[in-house]
Amino acid sequence: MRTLTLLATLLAFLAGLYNYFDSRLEQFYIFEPGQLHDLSQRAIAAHGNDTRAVVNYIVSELDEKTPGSHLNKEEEWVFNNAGGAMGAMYIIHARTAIGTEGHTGRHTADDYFNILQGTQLAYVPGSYEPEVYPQGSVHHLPRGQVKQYKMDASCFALEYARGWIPPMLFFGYADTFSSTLDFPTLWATSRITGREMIANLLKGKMFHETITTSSLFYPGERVAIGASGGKDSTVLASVLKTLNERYNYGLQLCLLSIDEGIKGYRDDSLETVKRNAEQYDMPLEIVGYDELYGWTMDQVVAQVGKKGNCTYCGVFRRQALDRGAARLGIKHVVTGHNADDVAETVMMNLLRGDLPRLSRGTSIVTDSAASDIKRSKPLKYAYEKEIVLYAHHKQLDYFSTECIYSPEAFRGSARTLIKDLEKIRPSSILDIVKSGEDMAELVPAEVKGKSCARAAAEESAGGCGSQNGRSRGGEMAEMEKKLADDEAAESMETEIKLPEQSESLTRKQNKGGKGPSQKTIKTQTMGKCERCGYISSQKVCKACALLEGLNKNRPKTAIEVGVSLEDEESSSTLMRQMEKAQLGG
Amino acid sequence: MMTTDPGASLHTTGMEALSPFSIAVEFTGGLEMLFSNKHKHSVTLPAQLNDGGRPNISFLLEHLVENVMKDERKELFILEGNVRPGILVLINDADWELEGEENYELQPGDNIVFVSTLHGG
Repeated sequence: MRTLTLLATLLAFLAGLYNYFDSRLEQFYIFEPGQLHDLSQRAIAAHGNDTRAVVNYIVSELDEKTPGSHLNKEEEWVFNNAGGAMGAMYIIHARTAIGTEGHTGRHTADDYFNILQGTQLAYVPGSYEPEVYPQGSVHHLPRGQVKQYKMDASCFALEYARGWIPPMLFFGYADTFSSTLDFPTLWATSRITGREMIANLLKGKMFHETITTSSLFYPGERVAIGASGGKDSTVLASVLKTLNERYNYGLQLCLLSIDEGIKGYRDDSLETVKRNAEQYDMPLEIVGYDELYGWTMDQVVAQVGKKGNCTYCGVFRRQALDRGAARLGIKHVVTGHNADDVAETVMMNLLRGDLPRLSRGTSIVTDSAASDIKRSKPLKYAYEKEIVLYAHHKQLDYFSTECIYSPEAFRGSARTLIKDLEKIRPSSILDIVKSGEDMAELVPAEVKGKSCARAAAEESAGGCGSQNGRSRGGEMAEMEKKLADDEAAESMETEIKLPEQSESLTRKQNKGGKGPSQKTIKTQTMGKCERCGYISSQKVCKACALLEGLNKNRPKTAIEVGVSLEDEESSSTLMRQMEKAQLGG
Repeated sequence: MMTTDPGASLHTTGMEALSPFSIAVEFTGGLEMLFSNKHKHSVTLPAQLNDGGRPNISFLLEHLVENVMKDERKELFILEGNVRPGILVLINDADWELEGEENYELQPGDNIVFVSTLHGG
């Protein structure tokens, strides 16, 4: 109980400080670590092991120095302050633990633990003796360092972090206070926060930071959230809604779902999305494969079998999302890809030596020249673990059943690899993402451009890649097929191949900007499908090609004009005319 | 107000009655499919093991696989004697990494949650 009161006080207090600093960001670092250390020592000298008194002493002194805080109106104040944290910020809180152990995480902030009571031990890799931080001392954890730490049962510490702090921290707390005053949950949240949020979220993958630093949105923008009913998209919707209201992004959010037509899977998950639409008060648009293509996935599977059907699903989905967005008049679709997903993709592209896709897969925003619909992945830096914990603690309503058509294969293996690595070294995931980003920068623009049209069309074609995450079945077969397709396509394209010797030059030129530099190249290979007008590097886009195969084998051809293969091959004039017509229209 | 301080249970010692005790085990995130589609299970454990120790998470895992899990695909839950990577374990709502992972000694009334992160989003 004592701990809870302490926590409540301190949380209220720190949120108050935040409130103050929020308005004066530039004067952020008003405390010197030394000053806090001095304060901690005086508090300990005055009150010894009476932790509450020690904390009160600190709180009241800090309160005097921060006239803007509203320490006396704790609860109300936290409630009002559900505004959350801003960019570069500052936080003080009591970290208390019962025999807590863990790794400190790699912080993007400098962290100072002023040990108020008990002892903290820290272990630096490679050294045999622990660093011991007794009462009254300061354990400074510099930016970017990782240590193993242990705090004994009665250890309390005043933690001062300078740097980037996650907004989610506040939202967890503020919600607990404001909505339910659910102390056991707060307690649990705090404990988990102790490790999860401080240790992990601090690392710079904070959602709000991601949004602000990459300028994902503009005020008033209409954004469609690709919603599958699964955890990632549900968390994305919940977080975006919260942040949108909290920071006045001014976004108009809606949910966009794809109905692949898989009975016993998608129909159930769509029910979840429908509930979410009500819970989050967002309009919902559902686009069905049957209406777009004349085929449900159940019918496709009946025709092509379970193997390789993910190719169809993935290719169809990419277009379906774009078309759904177009139908709503929305130009920006966000998807729930998390850090684990991106790391998987990086690994897969590495394993298959696919530089162009490697360079595209890591960028947070993918626009394509020929499509005016922008895609982004705001959760790119959020560990899957955090997403699941967030959903768990917020008790979000999400659907978690594997797609019935997906056996595990290539992505499954990449995924297992990543989970195994995470077990050994949790930050591996973000490090892989970072490596992917860095490697992407090294990819010469010409290489990026080389298959970027295809990449754009197939970026999310990895089985159930774009929407429902991990059920990429038949991935191996699909990948082989893709590689074969790519080779075939290559011979048909008139791409500018990069002469060997100029590579280093290009690299130099390309060094400055990673994202936009692709754009100029893209136009070389981008075209539009002559049948449906969708972006494609080939005359007929993948979806139409797949559809043709499907329709050929179905007696009653339901959709799509029949252009025979021979016609296609010799119809470059026709293609150009079509393109002109489409560009003009 | 505070009925279940999760920390308090840590201070109980092995000195109390040696009668079996029960804990709550929950499966979510799709894992429930491996456990008869049931989210919540009540599991009774002996207070003392043959070697004299108290049952810990490792013991619980064995117990679950042998006695509770009907599904044959054990590897979807357990790999190499431990929880399959990608499955989160919460001990009284706290990440099990805070509690010593598989060596955490179970206490009466504990709530253990297994959450799979391996399903789509």
